[in-house]
Amino acid sequence: MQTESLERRFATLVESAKYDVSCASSGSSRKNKAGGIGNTESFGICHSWAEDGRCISLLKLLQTNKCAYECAYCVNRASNDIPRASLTPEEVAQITINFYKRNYIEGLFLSSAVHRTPDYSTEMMIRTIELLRKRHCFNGYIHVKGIPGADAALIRRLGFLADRISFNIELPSAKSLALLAPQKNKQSLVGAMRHVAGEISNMNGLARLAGGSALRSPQRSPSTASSKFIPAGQSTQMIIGASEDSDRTIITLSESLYRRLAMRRVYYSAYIPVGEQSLLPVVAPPLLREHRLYQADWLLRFYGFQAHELLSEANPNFDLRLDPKAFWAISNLHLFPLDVNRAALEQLLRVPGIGVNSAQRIFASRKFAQLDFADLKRIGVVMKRARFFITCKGKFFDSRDGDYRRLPQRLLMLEAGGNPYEEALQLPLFANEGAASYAAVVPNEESFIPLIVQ
Amino acid sequence: MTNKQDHIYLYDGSWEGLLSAFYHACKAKERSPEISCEQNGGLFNEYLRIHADDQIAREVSGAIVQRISRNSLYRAGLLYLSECDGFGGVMYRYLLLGFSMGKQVDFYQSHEAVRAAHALSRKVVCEAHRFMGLTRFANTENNVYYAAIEPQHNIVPVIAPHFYDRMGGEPWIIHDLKRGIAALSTESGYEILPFTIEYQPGMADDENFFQGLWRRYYKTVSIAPKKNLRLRNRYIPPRYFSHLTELNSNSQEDFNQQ
Repeated sequence: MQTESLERRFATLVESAKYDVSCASSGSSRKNKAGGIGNTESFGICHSWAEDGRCISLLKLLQTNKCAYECAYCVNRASNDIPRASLTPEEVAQITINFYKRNYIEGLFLSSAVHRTPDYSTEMMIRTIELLRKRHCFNGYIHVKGIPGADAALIRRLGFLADRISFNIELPSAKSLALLAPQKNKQSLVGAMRHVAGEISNMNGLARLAGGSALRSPQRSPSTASSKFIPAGQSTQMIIGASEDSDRTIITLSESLYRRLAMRRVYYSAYIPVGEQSLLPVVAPPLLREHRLYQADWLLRFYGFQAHELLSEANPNFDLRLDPKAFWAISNLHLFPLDVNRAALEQLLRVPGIGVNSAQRIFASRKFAQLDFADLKRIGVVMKRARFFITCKGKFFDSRDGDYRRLPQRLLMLEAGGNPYEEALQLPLFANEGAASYAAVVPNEESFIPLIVQ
Repeated sequence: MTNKQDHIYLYDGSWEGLLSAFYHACKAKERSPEISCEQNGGLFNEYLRIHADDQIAREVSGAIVQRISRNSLYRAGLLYLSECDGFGGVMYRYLLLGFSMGKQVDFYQSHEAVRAAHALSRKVVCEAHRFMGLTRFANTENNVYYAAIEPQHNIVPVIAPHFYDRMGGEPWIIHDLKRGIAALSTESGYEILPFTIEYQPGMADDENFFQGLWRRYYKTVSIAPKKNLRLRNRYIPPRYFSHLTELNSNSQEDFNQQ
């Protein structure tokens, strides 16, 4: 039946799986059992980094890439001319165990194309994972892909076997999904996620999260996984640049996924054209935009920001020149400067150049002594950026830092690696990137004026 | 940083020796001594040779746990494993502050002694965490999983418990080539022993196959338009390449053939 060599089929299926960028092996803490192999660490372990700079912690594979669906953005769509292959559950389990013992990986990331039906593909994956858990006594990390439309009972079985499950939203609006992935629909996707979120909270005895309540705190400890249900929770992925949706649509969606469905992570993947098709733009991958979305995602999860603070109807896309945090600060100068020795922790987190660690260190150590600029530098604050927004004992780092009229220009100079107090300020131009809806703005002071509250 | 007046306490390189030297420096009410196992200070520094004393070492570690915290003792241990120049002085100033402040000392992050101790111990923890990922085992002909590493700090004692739990019943060896020691799995745990032999084991039958498969995986999984070797090298400094199956010299030949 399988006449092609294992290596060739393996390479085909890795090639087909790699655009799913989820890479974490964290969120689950499991000790090995007698007679077993493997454990998981709640902080996750990166085993290597690929040539594109991304972390490799799991063996990422498709069970099969023979797909019945026709999603325009996907390399495995039925009409795309690529080699098709499958691996048996035994083959996947063998490779996983052998890689694991050599410490190449923390575990397995198993996905599948929709071969025949969602139920059929899901059952193949269940067989593979059951082999690993039961016959090989594997206690390492398993991340499994949920196929929307699969029977709820099958998803439930997966939940008891895997550490994490994900359903990829891929496209941020029902409209783009209908256009580009006609066999999928938003209801079944979100419905599947909602169902899993419900199961998790029933099984693990957490209080149901109501809409609008606090986002996951990074300090919250992950549940220990003995026979628990999906201990590392759910994640999802969105493709950036395959549709006309703005950053605002994307980040607002992420925020509600974190709040309402207890999503652990949302991943953003810049659209890379794969093969010939006519529905999608052929442009360079919007890498800077993807980067801005990750920065914004971090602001939501760790810095207490809300989506509506970062983007609005008038300003629906992130600035290419400045990161979202700095842009927000410039748009809210009435809140600055902050006195580092008096400001609340939530305020400190809003200062560009002060990260979570620095904010916590400032907060902890100022009980013992008033902080000065030398202390801040020692603590790890990036003074280059923070100096405009904070004072120590009533004074700025440099007396010119308090003049907010030229602040946007100065920050841009800093980003370009220049001296913020150079007389002739030449503003750098950044090249346009990404899909047509994401236009570059020619930098000049007027573009900031509507946002600066005088 | 030693000046003409600072004393240098010499110990034998062991943990008990370090604590004994610390004890004596404390008793002499030193402000900023250096504690080291090498004689490389200035000509006019006064050297005091201290003998390791198990009883004193036990008392000192007990005092640290009691008067500061268990965490601080662990941190002192990490500083010892860092093997960096000057770690003795960093440890001394940190613990001295700890004795006067108690367990609050770790919150006083703006104090120079605390920052120095935290930054150095963090280096050790970071490298240990990295090696939980970068250590590569090879299945040798007698079915022992053997890994060779060359870390900057002495992290084998930190990573051994992790691998003991992870590997289950499989026999394994982690060999620190730089220091001539290895963690070896035993019936009920592991031991850390001197390991200076030139160990060149033969490979198990399927070892080449899985190494080849892993190299194939490594090359395939990268997304070509996003290639960024500078970023990759920031995460894995090239000094670690030689013991990584996917990046050592063998991997180059492998791909020239394909």
